[in-house]
Amino acid sequence: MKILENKYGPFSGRLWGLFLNFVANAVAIHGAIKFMIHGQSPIEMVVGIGITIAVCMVLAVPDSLE
Amino acid sequence: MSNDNQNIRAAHYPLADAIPTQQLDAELAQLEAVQQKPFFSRIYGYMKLGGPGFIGAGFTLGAGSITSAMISGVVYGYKTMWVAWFSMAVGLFMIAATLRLATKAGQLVPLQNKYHHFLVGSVLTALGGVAIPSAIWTWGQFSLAGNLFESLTPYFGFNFPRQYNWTVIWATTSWMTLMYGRKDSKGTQIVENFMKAAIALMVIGFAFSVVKVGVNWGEFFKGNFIPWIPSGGEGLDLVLASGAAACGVVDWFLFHYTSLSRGWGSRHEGLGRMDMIFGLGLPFIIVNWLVIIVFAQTLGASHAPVPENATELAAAFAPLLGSKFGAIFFYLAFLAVPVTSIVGLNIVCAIGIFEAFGWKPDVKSLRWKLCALIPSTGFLAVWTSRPLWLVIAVTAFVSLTNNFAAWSIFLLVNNRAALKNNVVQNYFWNLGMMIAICSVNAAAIVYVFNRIGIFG
Repeated sequence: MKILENKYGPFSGRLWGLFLNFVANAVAIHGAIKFMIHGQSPIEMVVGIGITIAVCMVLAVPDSLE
Repeated sequence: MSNDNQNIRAAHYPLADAIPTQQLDAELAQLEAVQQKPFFSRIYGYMKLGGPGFIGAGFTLGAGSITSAMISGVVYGYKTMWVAWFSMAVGLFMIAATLRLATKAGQLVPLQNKYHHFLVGSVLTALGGVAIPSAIWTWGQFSLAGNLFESLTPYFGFNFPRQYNWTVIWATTSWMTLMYGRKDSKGTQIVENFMKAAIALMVIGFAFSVVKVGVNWGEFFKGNFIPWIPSGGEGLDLVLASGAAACGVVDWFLFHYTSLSRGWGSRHEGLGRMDMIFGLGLPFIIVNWLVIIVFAQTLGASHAPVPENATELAAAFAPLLGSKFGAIFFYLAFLAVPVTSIVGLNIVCAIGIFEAFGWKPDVKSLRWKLCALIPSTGFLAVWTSRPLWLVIAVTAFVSLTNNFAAWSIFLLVNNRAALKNNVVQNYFWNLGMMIAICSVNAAAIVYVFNRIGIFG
């Protein structure tokens, strides 16, 4: 996937994706704590998990399959 | 070097000079013969030919991971058994990536320095992620080894306090460490065989204990297939410590560089994969399972107060085996845990420092010997009492440095400039690496959240 290998500013698309994944992981975990320990809404957790899954599926596309 | 030899050794790593090229050729021929054999003979053949995987298992099965397994068994019973296989399974995707780099491109740190930044390669991976933690972790290993040795000797009719027995542990581990990579003594092979024997001792010794105490198969399957995470900071730290033990930069780094030291090149990737599964993965999972089972079945089932450290846990457990022979066997198996870890930590510390500063490894040089023995200053721990949670906290803290290395390795194996046509071409391999990356990210995030009190 060309978008992953191209550079955007200082980093490649794949590295920007890793940053986004990290943020999504943090949102998912923060949301999970709010939902499971403090009994608040699960929306934050669901959004975090959703973005994590989507980003992982995109970043896993190998260079050769473009 | 002939053209054929150059094909075998894709990248030259100085420690590999200890392995003659004829031996590498012979190993490839043996590998082809092994692949034609029936299933169990094939596994035995892979184990015989492997080496770096066993060094990795010997290192990974250390005071931190085994203490976490013991405590998990006592406090949570069988419920956290899934952590061992899950963390190892995702860790293997990363290890396969470092193996790809070793066999097709060469040393990891120079590649990171070239394609990313020296802060990522030399500083955060080699120095901060590998060498410094290695020097810290041996303190826990020496402390545990000294205490276990002290507990073992009365069964033979004499006392050997840890204030003195550390000399035997230090001498044995230093001798093994300094033998690694030597050309004149088959040093690499001797160290690999030492690790294989020690792991066999762990498996047989702990399996003997399991036979004595029995298994609750229903709980065993539930614990392995229904993921369960304890609530609260200490419980999460425990799971993180167990997970980080199998999925961390030191494991990846050690496997990568011991593969290079074995002279493995392009044609050895298949053997390397078998070695990482049967030499590293299976022993790690089996030993963790066995330890969790014996403590869940005994101290866990008794609902007694949890002892403060691994030595007290072992001392509380050994009499439950009901025989002197059983207790000796248990202590010997347990003693193999920190001893092999010290050897692994010594070796990886030297490699880490040399890679960080770009020095050419020479195992006969004074510089190498000093770097390899820095972690052995951990013998000082026999004079201090280390709380259990400190060992676990150090392991959890190092999870913070795993991110940089994991991201960097993932990017490298997907970098056509670095690997040309050998870039990862399998979607599920990349997906496995992404799960590993999410795991190390989660470990770092939970660690930070836990410390700033977000759990409440």
